[in-house]
Amino acid sequence: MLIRISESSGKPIYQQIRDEIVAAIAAGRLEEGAVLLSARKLGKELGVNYHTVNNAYNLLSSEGFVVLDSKKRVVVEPHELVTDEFKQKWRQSETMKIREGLAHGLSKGELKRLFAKFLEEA
Amino acid sequence: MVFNIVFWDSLIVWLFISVAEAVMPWLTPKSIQFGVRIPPDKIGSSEVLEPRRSFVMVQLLIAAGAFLGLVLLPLIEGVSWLMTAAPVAVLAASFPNYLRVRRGLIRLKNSEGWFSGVSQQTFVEVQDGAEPRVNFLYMLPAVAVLLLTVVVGVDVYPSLPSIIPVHFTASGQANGFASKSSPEAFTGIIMQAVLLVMFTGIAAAVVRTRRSIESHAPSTSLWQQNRFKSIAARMMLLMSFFIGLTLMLSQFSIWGVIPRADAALTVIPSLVGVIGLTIPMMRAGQYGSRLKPSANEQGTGIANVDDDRVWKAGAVYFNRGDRAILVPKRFGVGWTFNFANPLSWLILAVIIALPVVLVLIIRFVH
Repeated sequence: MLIRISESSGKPIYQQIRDEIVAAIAAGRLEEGAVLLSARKLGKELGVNYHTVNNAYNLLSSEGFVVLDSKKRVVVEPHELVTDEFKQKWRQSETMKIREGLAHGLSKGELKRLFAKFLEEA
Repeated sequence: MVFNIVFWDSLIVWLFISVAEAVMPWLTPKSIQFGVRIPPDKIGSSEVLEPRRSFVMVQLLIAAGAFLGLVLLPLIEGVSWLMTAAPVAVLAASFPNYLRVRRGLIRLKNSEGWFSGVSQQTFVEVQDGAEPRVNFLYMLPAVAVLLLTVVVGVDVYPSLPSIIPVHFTASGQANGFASKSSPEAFTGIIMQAVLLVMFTGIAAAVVRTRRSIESHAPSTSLWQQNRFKSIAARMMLLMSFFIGLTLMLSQFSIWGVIPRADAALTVIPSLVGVIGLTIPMMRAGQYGSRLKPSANEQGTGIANVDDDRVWKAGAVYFNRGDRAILVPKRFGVGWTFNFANPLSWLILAVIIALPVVLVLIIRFVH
């Protein structure tokens, strides 16, 4: 499973790694149970410090996308994610995004169209 | 005889090196030409491909010059041994020719700003266990040769005289003797075992080397390099078989199992092996760049990060920010070291020193 990183995008590398892995899980390219490279190895493959990869993995693990198994391997395990707490947080942040859009003058019709498109692309 | 076996050995090596050097621009990925990183929109363009022709023309002249030396030198008394330098001469003269073409390409790249505004991204595999596996069955031929040497040794050993010749002049005259129980009398066996371990280690190491993914066609390049690594690992394991044959022959001639053979003759299996095993790798192209995947991938239009800066002369990799030890060559087939990593120097020193130290230990241990 390939992900891509851009040094010139302005987004921190650890954030890019996190976002790419979330996107891959969302698109079904990374399935539950998939084992990711160790932070050290992925750091070597990418030519970045392994702390950078560790930051991304810690983020993913705190967000409930991956778990560390008994052999300290990073395993994709997104299902424990769908808790009430998660739904609550997600609703809050998305509602805020919608309000931002409305405040900037987007109509509800436009928002619906955009959301349908985003859903398709994800 | 003027055109002796050394001549034929040199001729084979000359031919191989001349051809390999001349076709090299066709063996490297299209996104790297003469060690220069090429952006996707310039890949396959005439300004990038045209310089190859000028390179080959000069390579042919170099090869022809070395060939003249190769056939004329044996006719001159006293300097005939110089003919063995013909292949080295081809190598030495190829580098300035490479640099010449490379300079032209860099000038064009800089003046036209090939990478300005081009999206540069690094693709990387995140899933574990996607490396190609080494098929260790390919060790078996080398193991068989080693066993054969041992079995024959066990058979002839009791009837050997207590002092046997262990070193010979180029013409086959014995000029070094040792007790048949000294380690020196078993050099061929010891070296076989050491080489087998060494090549197995190299084979296991190359499949684990860092992936180097072409951003303009990531899936294809990943598939290609996995295939290439498998081929390379197999060839490394088979290499220990061919070199083992040479060592077996020299061990047999020490024991008198076969008539004392010329060193230039016993080296032939190694020569055949090195050349024969390099050919499949060359056919695959550097990192499998010539291998055709079953499905054609839509180009992404994305370039790799322009990393010309960390490649001195496009050939020597020196990158302090990279922990990798082995990286794919830019103008060649196979791997080279990251010379900014002290571990590279250590490994290089061990590989070079190992046979030398071994010979010294064997010679002086008794």
